[in-house]
Amino acid sequence: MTIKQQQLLLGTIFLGIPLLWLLVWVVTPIFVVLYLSFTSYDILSAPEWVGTWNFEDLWYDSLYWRAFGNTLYFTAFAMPLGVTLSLLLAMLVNTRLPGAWIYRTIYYLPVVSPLIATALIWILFYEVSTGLFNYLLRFVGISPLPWLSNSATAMPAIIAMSVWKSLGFNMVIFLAALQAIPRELNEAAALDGAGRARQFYSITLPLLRPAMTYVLITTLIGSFQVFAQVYVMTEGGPNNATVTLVHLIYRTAFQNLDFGYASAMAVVLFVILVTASFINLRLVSRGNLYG
Amino acid sequence: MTVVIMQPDRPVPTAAIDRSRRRFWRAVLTFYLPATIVAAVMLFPLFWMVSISLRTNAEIFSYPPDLVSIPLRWQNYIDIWTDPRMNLGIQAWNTLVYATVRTFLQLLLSSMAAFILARYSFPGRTLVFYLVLATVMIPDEVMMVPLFLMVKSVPLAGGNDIFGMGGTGWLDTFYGLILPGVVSGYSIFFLRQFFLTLPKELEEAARIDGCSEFGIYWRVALPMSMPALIALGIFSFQFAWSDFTWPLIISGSERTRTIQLGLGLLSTTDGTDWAMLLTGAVISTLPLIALFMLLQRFIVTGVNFGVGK
Repeated sequence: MTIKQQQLLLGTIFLGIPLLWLLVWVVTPIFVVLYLSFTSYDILSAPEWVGTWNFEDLWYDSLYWRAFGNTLYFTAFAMPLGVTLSLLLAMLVNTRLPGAWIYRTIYYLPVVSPLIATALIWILFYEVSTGLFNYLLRFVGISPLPWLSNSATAMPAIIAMSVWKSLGFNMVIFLAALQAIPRELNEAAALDGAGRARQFYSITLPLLRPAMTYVLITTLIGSFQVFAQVYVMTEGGPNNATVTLVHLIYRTAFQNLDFGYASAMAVVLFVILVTASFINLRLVSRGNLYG
Repeated sequence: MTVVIMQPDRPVPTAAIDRSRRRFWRAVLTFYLPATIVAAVMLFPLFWMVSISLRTNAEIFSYPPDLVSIPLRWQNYIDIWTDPRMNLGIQAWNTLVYATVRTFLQLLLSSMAAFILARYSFPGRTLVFYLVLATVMIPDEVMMVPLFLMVKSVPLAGGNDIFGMGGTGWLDTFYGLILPGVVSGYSIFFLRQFFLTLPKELEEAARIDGCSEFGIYWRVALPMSMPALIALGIFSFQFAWSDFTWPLIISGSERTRTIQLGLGLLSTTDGTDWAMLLTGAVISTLPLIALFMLLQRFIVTGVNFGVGK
């Protein structure tokens, strides 16, 4: 075979198989879910076309709005908290002092650990009578709280766990961005009489913008899909205080066997997340993070 | 006999000592002290996981809680392998199969497409690339409903007819667990970015030496991309090993149940045996931490190229 023939053959096979795969398992589901969102489907009998009925139902479904609100609640706290803390961590370990890598490694360990395994230990932390949190609270004179079974504290409890779990990941992204900032910039600013705070606001923060955008939007997308920790820690309870959008989709589809209605919820969430991702790609590709 | 040579006292400038001493304390105060406190907080849950796993159930719920409960109950780590509720042996095997096969296939299929997209030029290449990149935006958790139904109706599998009706398809099989998530736009994109950085001369030199086109992919491009392949491999392995949502939907029985799914399901049932659960949690966490420790320098490669998942 000539080189040209080889290239044609290799190109067809090498590109064809993965692209076909993407088409079947990544692109097709969009059309399936879109179709199903206009049907009523319980798996046992064939899908029945119901037009925009599901979406109208969603509009008047208080549980759906509850889940939407809970998801926003989670995002509104987990996102700023996680981003600020991980930036602080990155600035802390952005040093050439010996041993700094040990600290970076330690901060990254929660990211490496499986979500469910770590959620289990947090369930024990939140335990009412013998959990560590209530034990510590007793020292400051606060009476024990049923963290996970109280509708006011269940969501904050899940947020705390989630923030701890993902701090290290964003830290590494911020750290890479911080290390790309030339030292000369800060040195020159210092010569010109800029203090540390001034250097941070006028040099570091603007140069971190691509990384910041990336972290903000990936965190947003992740927060909107929070599911596993809710499933294990509270199962959406107490009193639906921690039902999130993905958890409600799961429940509607796999417990109530209402696949059409669940699909309608998924379509709405899909539109939100794709919009966020699209903004992300546009903003970040203008920066330097994707090289 | 040793001779100790006394050096005449040389005056050391006290200012220099002061300066280095001050620098030392500065480092301690601005870095080591806060960093150690933060490290203690970040590590504590993991430490507690290990500590709890070495107790009896009575000790877990004793009050006030001890930091470490002596004697350490190592017996948990033996008992767990024969505990009928945990079924850890099978679940560990399932997890290993899921994670390794998925990682291997992902690296293979993604690198194939990435190689062509990075090294060959053909009409429509940019368009294909952007279409692949666009799939990155499709959120996976949201797609669980259609994906479940598609896995269920794979034609001619699991008692299905040619239209995918009547049976369970790939549900509760390793095909269903592994295959749908194997190729992602992200993995192709990531490897393509790396392949782009390889010098064209190498490829041409190999071609002149009579290397086949497949040989250029297999013997030149892949070996030279080891850092990127390892970075992507770690992420894929970690993802699959820790995955909960997909196994929850696909695996219906012990046949394909993974450790994380087993732990998650057990924790939500009444009468949980926490000692066993936490022992299982530690056992399932250790391989990931070991893998990370061994290969962590490659993770930085991944982050620099924008691994974001």
